Amino acid sequence: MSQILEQIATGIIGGDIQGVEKLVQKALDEGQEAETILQNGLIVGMAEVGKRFKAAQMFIPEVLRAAKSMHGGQELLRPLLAGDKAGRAGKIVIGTVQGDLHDIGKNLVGMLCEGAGFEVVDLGFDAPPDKFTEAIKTHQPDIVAMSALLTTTMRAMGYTLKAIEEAGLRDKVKVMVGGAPVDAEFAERIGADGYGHNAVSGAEVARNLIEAG
Amino acid sequence: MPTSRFNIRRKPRLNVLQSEQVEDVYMATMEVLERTGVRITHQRSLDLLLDAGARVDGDRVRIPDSLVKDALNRAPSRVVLGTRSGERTVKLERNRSWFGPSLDCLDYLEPATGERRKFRLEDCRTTASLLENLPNYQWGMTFGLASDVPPDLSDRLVLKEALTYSEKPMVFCCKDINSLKDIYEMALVIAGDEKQFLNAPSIVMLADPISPLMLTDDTLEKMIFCAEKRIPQICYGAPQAGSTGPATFAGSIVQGTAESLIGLVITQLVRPGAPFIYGAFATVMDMRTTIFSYGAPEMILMGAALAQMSQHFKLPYFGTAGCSDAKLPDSQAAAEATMSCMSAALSGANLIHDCGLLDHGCLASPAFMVLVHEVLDMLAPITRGIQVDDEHLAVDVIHDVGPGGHFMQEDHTAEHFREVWYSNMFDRSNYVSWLEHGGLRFEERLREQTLEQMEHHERMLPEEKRKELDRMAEHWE
Repeated sequence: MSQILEQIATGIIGGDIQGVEKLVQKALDEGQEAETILQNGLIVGMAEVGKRFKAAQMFIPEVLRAAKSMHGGQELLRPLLAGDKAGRAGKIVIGTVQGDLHDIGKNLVGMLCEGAGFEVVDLGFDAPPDKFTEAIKTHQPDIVAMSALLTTTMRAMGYTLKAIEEAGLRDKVKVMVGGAPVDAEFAERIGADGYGHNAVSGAEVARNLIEAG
Repeated sequence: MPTSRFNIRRKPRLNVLQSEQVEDVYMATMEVLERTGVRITHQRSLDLLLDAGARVDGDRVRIPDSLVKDALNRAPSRVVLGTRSGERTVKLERNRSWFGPSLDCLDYLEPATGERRKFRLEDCRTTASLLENLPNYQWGMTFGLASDVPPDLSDRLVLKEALTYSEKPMVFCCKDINSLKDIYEMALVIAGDEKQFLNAPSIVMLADPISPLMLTDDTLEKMIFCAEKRIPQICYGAPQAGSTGPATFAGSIVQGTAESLIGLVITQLVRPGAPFIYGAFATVMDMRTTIFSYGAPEMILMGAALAQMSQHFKLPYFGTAGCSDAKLPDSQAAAEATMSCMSAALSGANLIHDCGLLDHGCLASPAFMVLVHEVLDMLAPITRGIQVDDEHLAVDVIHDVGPGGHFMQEDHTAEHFREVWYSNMFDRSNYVSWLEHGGLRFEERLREQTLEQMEHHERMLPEEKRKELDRMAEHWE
């Protein structure tokens, strides 16, 4: 790996937002391929961040800064990347479901997904089922992610899923759910495709859903 | 250089006595010393006290409060202990707290097998090395009474082991003046000479009045020797509410204080300025079992009151915490130790002993030492208190984020989130991750971490000094 790509990866790990942008620009000026910079610089750095977080060597604010640096670098590369996804891992529509005003977990998953290379469309909190179906039609995401904190509001995930089915959109998206009261069994019962037991695993589930096609 | 982790200015303060009550306890103590007095048969002590103005009637000595006042004026208000290599580390002053383990346990709880057996000399090496690896303990004690050596030599042999395998200052008990002289000789060899020893004394003698209100000849011989040589010493009775002390807590505090202050008076008559540490093990007798409790809430309460008394006297204070009546390092042990450690730290106790001690003083447990060490780690952020200034009041960042936003990506968060404490032992993961990591019970994690800590190497005394101590030990009797 060239020295500059290594520096980019190190910059991601250190959460050096401006530094990563400068290095990406420098790498492009030196004639490196955008795809190479993405794969061997940005993604290598972010993979290391994931590893360190799991090993309790990095903390959430540091992971988020890394994610932000990743995102900044990626935005520079995007116009130069081939393919309809333009170097993106995919697109996610995310929101806290109807009746629930808690969005810190949803925000966290959103930011981590951005760091993992997804384009994220955030519907905010207290999002009714038709807001999700409209967003699917407008943004054509690969994944719909729903969040809830309360046992009383998690039911709205089921209603939202039903609305997506009734609108004939269920086969166009993968659906993932998460939040404190949610578990794998609930996710399966309402017919979701994936479930993350915390924010970091949420971002992993998103990647796995894309890879599984 | 290790400093107390407890910032004394911001440290929250636990006051269990109002200032008027502190005066009441003091006056009641003076009344006990003047009216009841103490029993002493040691001739030199009697002569000293009589000359100074005490009333001596046979073996009963009654002391006017002016004598106590004189002694308080002469006594140092701080005592600093040092490591074996002469570094001044443990500053016993104001409300700084320093935690350490225990001594004189009869039994030992094997951390690997869980087997309980008699304490052996080799266990001192294990516990001293462990002590060396646990930074929240800044000083040590001699842990146990070795069952595999002659009982008359055990006091010196366990201390020799402790001083050989740990650098930290050590508190010891010894049987008589001859033992003490051997121990002092050992300390001088380790320090190099008397001057270096006095620069940073690395040993402290624990002397015990017999409650209620007696000091034996042996104890007084030892205390006078320590005063002459300026070896720091603790005079620490054991009023057990309802048996060796009155059943009421204020009464046990009064008696314990009287028992310690008589030691102060004598040491300051022997040598003004002799380093002295005040204290009492005031606890309750459990009337269902007759045990002397090491985990009673009343022990914790009385300990905090005694710490307040010490601050009134401007004397360093020897406290008790991190111990338990439980037979295993289990939930009961953790609950009792946590409560006593928190109270000892917040009441400003200085030299706090008995961390890792189980079964009301009978059982030394390395695993419990490791557990209590983590409790102390968890206590550190509480004792650091709350910093209040513009940066920490955070009005600007609250405004910038505004209603409904979040703080996770703010620079302010990045700069300050590390002020939060994290444990390597207490588990905060969610259920799924906990299962993924083996779903280990706390006791299993504690066992693993104790064995890991024990793998580290001790800090051995240099070889020529070890040889010299060995030569000295050949002549001990």
